Amino acid sequence: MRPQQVIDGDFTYWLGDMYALLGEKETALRWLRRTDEISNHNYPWFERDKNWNNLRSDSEYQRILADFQRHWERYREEFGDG
Amino acid sequence: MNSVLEGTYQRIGPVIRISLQLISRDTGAARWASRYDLRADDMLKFQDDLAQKVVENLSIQVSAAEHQAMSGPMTRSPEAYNLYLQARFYSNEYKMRSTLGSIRQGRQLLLQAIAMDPGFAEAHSSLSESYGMEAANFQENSKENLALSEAVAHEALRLNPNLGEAHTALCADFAEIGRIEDAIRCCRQGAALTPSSDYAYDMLGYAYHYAGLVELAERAYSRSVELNPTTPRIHWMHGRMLLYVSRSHDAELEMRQAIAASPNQYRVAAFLGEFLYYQGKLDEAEKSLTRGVELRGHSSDIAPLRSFMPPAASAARSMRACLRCALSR
Repeated sequence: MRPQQVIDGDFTYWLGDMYALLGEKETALRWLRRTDEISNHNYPWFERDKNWNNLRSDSEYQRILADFQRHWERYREEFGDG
Repeated sequence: MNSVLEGTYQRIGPVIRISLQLISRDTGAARWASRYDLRADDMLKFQDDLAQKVVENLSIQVSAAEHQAMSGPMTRSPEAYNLYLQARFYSNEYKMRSTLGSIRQGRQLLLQAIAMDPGFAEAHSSLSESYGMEAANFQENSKENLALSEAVAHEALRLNPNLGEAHTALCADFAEIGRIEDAIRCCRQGAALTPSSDYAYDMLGYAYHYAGLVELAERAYSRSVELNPTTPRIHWMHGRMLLYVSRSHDAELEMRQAIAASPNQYRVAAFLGEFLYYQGKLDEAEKSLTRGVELRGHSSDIAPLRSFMPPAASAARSMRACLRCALSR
């Protein structure tokens, strides 16, 4: 199964974080990019999830996370939170 | 939950005798009681009368659209209505057991109901929910199921533009295809039209969590639990939102209550393990996660994949094997 075949944003994220735990960086990032593409943009959780701690300094990880943040800020502006 | 509707029925030849009482949870006293002798054709009107009686005796919020819905039957076909009610049983069974068979059995009944009455909007809406649930939770044919879910939700809305359940079903589809803003707008409309629907708040919370609006998501799920605390599913969903708002201990407590009620539900065990893991309670987490894997058996359900998240690095080999197995489906 390739990331493009999966449509559920929780599933893609869960797979990504398991690969991150295993230290398989490229595969983890592929699933994280797919999570972004299919609009699971749960930035407050993603930036805190300890399973990704080993990738925090990776530039591609930071780029994807910045994209999550950009989407999240737009949703907050439109719908509020809290 | 402040009241319980209790009833018995007895079939005597062509007549069904139904005795009902609405009981206050706090005092145990009956707020209202009645007995009905019905024939098959009376059943549809009976449901409307009963809904009105219950609403009159409860202090619950009912929207204008819901009042309107209660004033007329969903369908003029008692057979279609009966099939629809049976399908609702299977929908609830899925939320209890997470079995694909429950979704598919319910769907067959809904397709039969729609064949009998193609104008039955509520049956279309439930059919959309059925395809959507399968698409979100089972990978096989997920794109096709999602497309079907969306098409059927649109048909339900064409039949009845004020049907809250149909707005909610469409919201779930929008969330799954990445149209998050549309999903939130649609779910808000669904919740406004059916403010007493646990499903409306469930899907609203789901859309919010994809947007990262975790405080709103937690509140929506809290409302859904309040409206219907009976299914384990709603507790693990609420638990996940509690985790996202940094209340992992509350998430653990909620799952411990759910596991007391549903000790053999693999997702409950898996999510309890996850919430323990994020608190650093690794030994307890491992036991619960292992239990989730054992209970899952051969199901192709994807959520318990989380059960393979090993608290111990030594489990990496089995985790890789499980990932390979899951991804090869």
